[in-house]
Amino acid sequence: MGLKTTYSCLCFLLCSFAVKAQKTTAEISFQLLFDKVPLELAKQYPVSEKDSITIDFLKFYISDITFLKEGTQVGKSKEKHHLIDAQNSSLYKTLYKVKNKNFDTITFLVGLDSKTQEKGIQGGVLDPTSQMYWTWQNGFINFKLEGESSLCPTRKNKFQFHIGGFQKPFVTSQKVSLATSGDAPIVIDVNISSFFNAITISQTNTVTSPNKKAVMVSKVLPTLFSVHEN
Amino acid sequence: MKINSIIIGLSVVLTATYCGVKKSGLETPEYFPVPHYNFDNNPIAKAKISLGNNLFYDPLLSANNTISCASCHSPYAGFAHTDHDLSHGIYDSIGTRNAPPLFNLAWQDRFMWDGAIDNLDAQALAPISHATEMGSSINEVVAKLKAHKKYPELFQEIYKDSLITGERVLKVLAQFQLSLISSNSKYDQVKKGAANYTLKEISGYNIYKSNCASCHAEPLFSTYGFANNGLALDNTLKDIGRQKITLNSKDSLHFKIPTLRNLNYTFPYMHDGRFKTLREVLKHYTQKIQNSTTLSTELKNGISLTKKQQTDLIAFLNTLNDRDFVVSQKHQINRSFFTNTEGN
Repeated sequence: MGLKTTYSCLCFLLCSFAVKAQKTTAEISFQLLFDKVPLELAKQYPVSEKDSITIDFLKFYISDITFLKEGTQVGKSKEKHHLIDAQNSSLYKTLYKVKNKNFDTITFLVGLDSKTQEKGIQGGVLDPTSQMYWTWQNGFINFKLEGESSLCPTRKNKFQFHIGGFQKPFVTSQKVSLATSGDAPIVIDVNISSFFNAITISQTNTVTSPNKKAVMVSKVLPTLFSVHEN
Repeated sequence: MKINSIIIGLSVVLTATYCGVKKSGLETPEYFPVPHYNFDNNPIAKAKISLGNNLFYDPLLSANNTISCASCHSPYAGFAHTDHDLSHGIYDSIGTRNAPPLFNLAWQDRFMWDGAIDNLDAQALAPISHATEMGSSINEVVAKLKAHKKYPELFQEIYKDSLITGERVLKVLAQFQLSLISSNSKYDQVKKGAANYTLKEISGYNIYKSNCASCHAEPLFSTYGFANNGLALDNTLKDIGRQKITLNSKDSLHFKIPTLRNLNYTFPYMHDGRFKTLREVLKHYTQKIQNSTTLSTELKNGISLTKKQQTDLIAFLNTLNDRDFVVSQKHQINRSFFTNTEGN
């Protein structure tokens, strides 16, 4: 082996080491909130003097959490799909790998991309026992929120939002893009009260199939997310 | 040199063809088209088909352990529900549609009369969860299977771990259903050069080709597309078909085009089982088509057939009955599995 080859090998090893050394693993969390305090299921949240909202069920998918620096991808979360379930905890933590901590934007999808949807029955967080696959038709529900409110003129004052649909014209997964200073650990606030500020549940309270209303509701979902300010 | 290259080339082509047929792991005639089902997501294995078979015949899938898939999809009826216009389900409930036959499913891209589900793996979720079918849920089914005396061992043997998940349950159920291939009717025998049509059957075949083949295309005898075949709306059901799913008025009264294979076993006919005999079906097509904006263009001018032509057509349709398929032991209930499992 010539000196040149040895030198090249050494350079290659050093370079790969340098690249590897730059990659760090850090934690990103999603914090479920109702009016700035951690969300509790089955708790009555007053929304006016006489009316209140209770959340019984909240589950949603987050996909492809990506970290960007000036528009270039510098990192992503280890898992592609995340199922956030209020039943487990109001705080969902996951790990991501990033080249360095210097990023300015986090993007992710609320829901699942169409490729995942088209693949149908899968395992892990996508297993149908997660109660997120529709039974009477095709596809995963991206965002599922159920509860009661005195504002709803429905049977037992129930509201049900099963927001899904991935085939045109009813595509309901929504991209979120958040600016951040890039300091780990990152906490993303998911303010559920913002949902009820945007949706008038006295009128829109039952959306359980892919249709125009589902698309309209899905457009509200990105507004629930913000980077937690310390 | 040249001959060598040709031989090598030929073997590559032959191997590729062989692999193409074998890729699905299912025996199918060479004149069948390429299956729609993506076998890469759920590779066929004998043990999985057998486990799927047990699940298919097991009433454990229903809320009160009374209704199995086979309750409405009986092997003797080509895996349809003979003699019931609308399917019967749990607690003596009656559904709104006629259970379709189950065979040659790998070639179909949408399931249910309205095509609500485009994925065979996911299809079983519908009857398991429906209040008038099995009234259960995949979570309940998984919990029951985990607590069962025999199933955990079968899952262990296949997956090398004892995990029972919704995905695994649905995929083995799909495997059994994919194994239901009907391709041994007289039509198939003639295709394979092992039988000959009678003159009457030849006449019927020609009538079929000029009047039926555009929707009920060979060799599966359906395009498995959706169409409005001019049935009058049943006012007790008010079933608008595919429009309910697509929310598009162009799909009003569109239903999945059923196959013409095994009609002898799968009566009654149509999505609501309104016709008991093929004569009634032909009476519809020749005399009773309801015109509407969504009526299939092929039927706009109706179909005109003499009594003799209808008789010949029925003679041909009878060549599509596959007796071997409906009596085949390999699709039947595995009785030894279900003995001594009472109380589970």
